[in-house]
Amino acid sequence: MKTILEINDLHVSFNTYNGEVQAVRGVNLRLEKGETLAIVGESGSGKSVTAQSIIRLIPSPPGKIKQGELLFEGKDLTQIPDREMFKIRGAEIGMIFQDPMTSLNPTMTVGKQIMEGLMWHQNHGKDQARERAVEMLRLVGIPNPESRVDQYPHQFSGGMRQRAMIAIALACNPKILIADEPTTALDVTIQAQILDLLKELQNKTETAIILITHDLGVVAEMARRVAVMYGGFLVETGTAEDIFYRSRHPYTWGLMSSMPRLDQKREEDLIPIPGSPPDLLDPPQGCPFADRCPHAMQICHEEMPKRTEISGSHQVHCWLEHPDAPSVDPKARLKVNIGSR
Amino acid sequence: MFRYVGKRLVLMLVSLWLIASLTFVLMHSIPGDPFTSEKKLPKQTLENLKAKYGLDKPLPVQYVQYLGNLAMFDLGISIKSTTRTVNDILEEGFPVSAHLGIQSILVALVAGIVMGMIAAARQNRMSDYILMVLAVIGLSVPAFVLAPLFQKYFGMNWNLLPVWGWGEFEKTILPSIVLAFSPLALVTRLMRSSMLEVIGQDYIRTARAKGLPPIRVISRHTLRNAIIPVVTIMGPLTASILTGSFVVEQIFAIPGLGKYFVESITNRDYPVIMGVTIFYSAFLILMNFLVDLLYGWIDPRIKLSGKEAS
Repeated sequence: MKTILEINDLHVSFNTYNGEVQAVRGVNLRLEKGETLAIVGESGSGKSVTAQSIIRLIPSPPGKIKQGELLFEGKDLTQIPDREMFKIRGAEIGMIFQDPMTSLNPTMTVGKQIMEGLMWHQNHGKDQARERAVEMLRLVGIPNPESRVDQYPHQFSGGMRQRAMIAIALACNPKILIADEPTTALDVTIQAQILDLLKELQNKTETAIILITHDLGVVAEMARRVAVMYGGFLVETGTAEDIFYRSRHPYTWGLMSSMPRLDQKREEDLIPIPGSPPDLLDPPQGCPFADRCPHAMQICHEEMPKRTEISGSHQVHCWLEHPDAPSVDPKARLKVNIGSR
Repeated sequence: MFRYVGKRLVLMLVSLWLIASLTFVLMHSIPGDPFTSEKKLPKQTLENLKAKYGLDKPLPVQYVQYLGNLAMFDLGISIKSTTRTVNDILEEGFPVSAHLGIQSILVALVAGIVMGMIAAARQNRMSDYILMVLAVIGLSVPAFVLAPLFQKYFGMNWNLLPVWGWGEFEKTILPSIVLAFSPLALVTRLMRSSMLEVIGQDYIRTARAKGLPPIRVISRHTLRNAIIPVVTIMGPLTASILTGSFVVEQIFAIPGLGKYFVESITNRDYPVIMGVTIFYSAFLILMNFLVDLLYGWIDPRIKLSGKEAS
């Protein structure tokens, strides 16, 4: 597999009146050609900021990429001038967003919004771009694309708008599609349709997808590899199987047990993770999860754990992997929780 | 659409009738009449004069007569300058005021939109602060302060522009700028705040994610959505500026419509009061109507229909 995007030690901060919010604090990731990588985490974990940093879309100021590399086909995206970035955004790397109701310009026809990127990046003429826009709408499963192309977003339903967003993002055949919570704002039935559509399009176009989500159901459906983020750090990465069946990080365990499962017994409660994420204005010195972790030890509060390779595909940052750490049973968490209630 | 326009036209006529009636009542409730003066006129002369202008008849009769004339676009004869009809006054004064007004509105609109955009793009930086201070000055310094200052510096000290009169283009420059000042400040502030609001919208992020450079994002996505509040105030603003400003026209000795608004009332020149008020109202109503049509064109979500809004 060819690596198409490599993120090395990415740090992103926002300067606010209260001080510097360190939203991302050293993320390392690789994305291979044509694969789907999911970045999972709760609100404020830094997953969206990481994704938006890739195409330098974070509002700046106040946002700033403090350090790190974003190697796209060997080119460091943090270093290139804006002019070059404009040629990569939309053309090489497309992006779709969470809320399709507000992500389309209400005063421009859907067709024009698709054509715009084509005319800018590929120097398409008007007619050619329009043809391609109709084709894209058909591809994303919008009926009567010839007439829909001239309609405005408010004449589209939510699901159709997200389809139109996908059409915009994929119009120029990007090599990477960043999907920032693409189904969060949609009905469950529409969610499944959109996910199916993304998978189908990925098979056709071999676009790599970075899927940002907090919905583990979506992850299971879509992703080959998963990266779990917490407090601005990547705490665990692995294949979907690694994460779902052999996860090693207490936060990942927490995520799993707070998700309803079909095979769960009726009397079994969902277990929320107690507490709230760390304040990134003044992030803790050690592991960001230590305060909420049922297995936290002294060292967890003092120092961030180094990366441990579980296998070629599976890495975790946790002191429990240290040879001197006690061995814990993921299920033990359950008892700890009940005991503390 | 046609139904909408038709309905609006009917409503416009109703509003005009209401305004005409109200003005009529208010005007006649001012003490005195057009012939009140220092010199007492002989009784017979007064009665003859009143008879000539139909003022001897009971008010309801006068009212019906006036409305009848109004329907034929006959606004009557000015009582003060006996040779001129109100229509003459409007025909002479309005083109001058409108000329001055259009120049001012253009300056205010173009400069206001540009300055508002600059201020928004450089929010909380030096240029933003400077523009906002200027805008506050523009809004708070009245024309009768600004005009003499401009006349002193541009006209007398630096000898750049004529300070009064009407006719050549140079003579229109100073009054246009003075008249444009407060609407310019208003448009700048409005444009800045609505630009800032639109820039934060998700669809602007989408446009940026397409890789469009900032200029294109602003021209194609931000501007059109941000301009709606400015369009809203354009209706009343255009009407008030195009029908003439008493102060500015007085200071620069411009033979516009502005002075009739004030003078007709102190003179109790009934036909002129009615005439300019109705003309101004008709113009204002028409401008608001045009603005509403413009909305539909700018923002496709605003649908114009003859049906009641549900």
